[in-house]
Amino acid sequence: MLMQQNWPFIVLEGMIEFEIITRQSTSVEGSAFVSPRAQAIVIGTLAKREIDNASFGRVTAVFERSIYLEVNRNWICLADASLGFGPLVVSVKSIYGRDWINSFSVGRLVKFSSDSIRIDDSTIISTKGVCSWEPPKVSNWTKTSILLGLRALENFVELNIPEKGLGRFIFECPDRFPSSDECLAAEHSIEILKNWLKQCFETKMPIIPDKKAIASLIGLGPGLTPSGDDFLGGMLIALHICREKSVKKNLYVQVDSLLDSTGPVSKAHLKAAALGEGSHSLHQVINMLLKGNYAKLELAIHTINQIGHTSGWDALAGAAVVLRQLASNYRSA
Amino acid sequence: MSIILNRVCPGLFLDSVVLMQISRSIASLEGVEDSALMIGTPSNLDLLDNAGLLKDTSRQAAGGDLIIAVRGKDDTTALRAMAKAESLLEQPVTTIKETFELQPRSLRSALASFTDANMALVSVPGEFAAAEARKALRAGLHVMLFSDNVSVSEEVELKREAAEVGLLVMGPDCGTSIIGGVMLGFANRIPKGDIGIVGASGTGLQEISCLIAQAGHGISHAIGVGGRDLSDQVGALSTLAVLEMLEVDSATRHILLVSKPPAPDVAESVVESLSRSKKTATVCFIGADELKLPNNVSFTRTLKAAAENATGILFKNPKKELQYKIPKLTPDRKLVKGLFSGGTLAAEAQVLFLDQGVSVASNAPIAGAMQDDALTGHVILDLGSDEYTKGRPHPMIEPAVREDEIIQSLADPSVAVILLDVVIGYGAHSDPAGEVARVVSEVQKEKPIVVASVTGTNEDPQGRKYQIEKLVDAGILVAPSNADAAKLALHCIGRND
Repeated sequence: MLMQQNWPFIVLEGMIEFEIITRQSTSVEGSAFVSPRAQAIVIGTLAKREIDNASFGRVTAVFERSIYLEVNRNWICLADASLGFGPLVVSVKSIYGRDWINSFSVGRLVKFSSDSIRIDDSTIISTKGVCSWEPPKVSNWTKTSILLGLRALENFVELNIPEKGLGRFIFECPDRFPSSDECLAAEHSIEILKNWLKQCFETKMPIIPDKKAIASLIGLGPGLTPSGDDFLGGMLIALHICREKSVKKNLYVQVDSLLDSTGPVSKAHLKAAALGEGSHSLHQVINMLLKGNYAKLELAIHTINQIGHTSGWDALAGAAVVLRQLASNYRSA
Repeated sequence: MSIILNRVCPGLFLDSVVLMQISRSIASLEGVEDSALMIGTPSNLDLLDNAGLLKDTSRQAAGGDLIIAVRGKDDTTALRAMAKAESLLEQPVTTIKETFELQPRSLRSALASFTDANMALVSVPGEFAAAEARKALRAGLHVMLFSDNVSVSEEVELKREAAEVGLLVMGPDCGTSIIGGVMLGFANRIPKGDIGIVGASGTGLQEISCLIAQAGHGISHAIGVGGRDLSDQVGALSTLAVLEMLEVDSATRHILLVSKPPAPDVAESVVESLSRSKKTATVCFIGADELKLPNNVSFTRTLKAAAENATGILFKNPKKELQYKIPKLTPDRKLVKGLFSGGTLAAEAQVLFLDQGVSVASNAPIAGAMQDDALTGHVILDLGSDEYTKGRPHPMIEPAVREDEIIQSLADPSVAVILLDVVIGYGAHSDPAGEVARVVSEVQKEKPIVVASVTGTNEDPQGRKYQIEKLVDAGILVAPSNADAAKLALHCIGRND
């Protein structure tokens, strides 16, 4: 379930970069131009692609710290920088806090130029000097490193799993945690997907997952990005990161055919996940899981807790299911 | 009869927390049996249906629609709940706040909650640790710096700053302390007593305090200072501060200092400080040559001897008093492979080998031992050292990191004895002996003798007694102390005279 995030600390490496960008941008804007209300500091790969290829978009949803725009029939997000980076996100910083959001209302037309996002003739957000976000690079992993990472993950998150959502499937034995309505509805499908992954990794054969299992996950749960979608998104991202692209492709074939069964925000995030892209903090956690790096994993998990109400946990559960099956059943080619 | 009401709001997007808050708010109204606010995806329509919250007319809803669903005991209740939900939906998002129980995320907020705190335990990645420790010192707190990867220059700066304001910095890389009975980091439950320990060695401090407990004695405090404190660069800044504290501590009768051999000048200043003490003291510099000491100070080279000296009790000699059934080895099996999670325990084992004239190599060699790549003979590895734990958990936390080494050694036809430590207590793995026993038991064919000791007490969460039982059940020979385990390993290869 994606919500307006409260992200007090972006992963620390990102924070350093973030500060530098902010200072550079402010100096340019402050001296030479009519000051816009806000400055875009980082733009995600997919958000950039949409804005570069369109001259306008329309506001579809306004939240406390972010807004969604429909551009070329795809959705992108303009968000306060504290919410972190991701493929669909234009991260925005302003010395006036989040006042810039008040300029947008649902249905309003938003124009894009090479250096700004405008409403009517006013520049609301300058995009001059904006940096591009890409998923962090993945380092090498081994079966042992993944198993160590998963073990550490179980230790770190045991007391933090939200009541709602599918977070309990992070655990190898999820039954010891209380079951939410979504969990009960998802349990059987997740079991089917685990078996499908097992077969894929063991046999190295192209096997298509059961469509019914995926259909019962798509759109399951409350919020803008339902838990079932986040779970599938986490699976897709983990498969991409682990270079299991044919397995990912077979999963996405089924997900893609069911995309109309979920909401537009979630659809956009699932499309990004199909390209192996999700929120920055999810990538950080998956990378540390793969490396079995306890110390950095613990640090990164704090940021997962800030992605939506349960979205981060749901996606992490999907990723953990993939990594556990991969480590347990891996046969080198 | 229950009444179900649904309202479908096309194109209304609200985040999940807001939806959950509204749902809770209406569910708490008297007479409301259930409620939910969800987008109208097919899966959610099924969920609502199963919960008895869906009306047939809502089945046409889609993923872009929000469904408000209420079930009340009667018309009036259901209508009132729906009206409440609608009014909450019209409120600006910012007015709906939820109260969360806050966990402090910074030193400042922690201090705001715990105003009488006088110590901070800093455990963050090394590159940020000095800054956090400095903040704590400036807030008037003693610091236990659990983090490693702090530079020597930062360590010296921190310790000097602390000394100027009468505060103590324990660490960096300080894994163990027991202050006034409060266990910090990796520590064991030790009875209160009159022996005050200062240690530049985590597992050394644990082994000594546990042996003291096994002898029926106890400790006043056990204070870690970090492995580099007695180096030339740091100059025992924290050790000297702790010695002064223990000197004036009325609960401490005897002072015990444990460390790797210090730099000569530093050793001199420590001994000089002890010579001024009115209390008796034991100095255990693992593997060092005997020092010239004042009358009130005794010297030992092993942890076991240090505990004996401090308690005045000679511990049992396992070779005589315990009847080990030592399996017969094939003639090719001649070597000892020590696989330690505790660095000081590995160092103590090396002392015992060298004292018997047995050459040994290690990745953390003491004086007289060789680097582990120098020969193919007896090897004692410290698997908790940086090269094994970079980006990995310490083997005391996660025994699995030692597993591969044990499996390899079990399969090696030249290995006669595998020598292990099993460290239990707070902060350690919940069942390290169980993990070792499992790995050893999995090998059914002829294998080396496995010798181990358990550092801990019966009062620790894992229970020393139960841990020993697990090892014994797996056919492992268990010695009463680390030093005894090393001697037993030597005995198995016919080298313990």
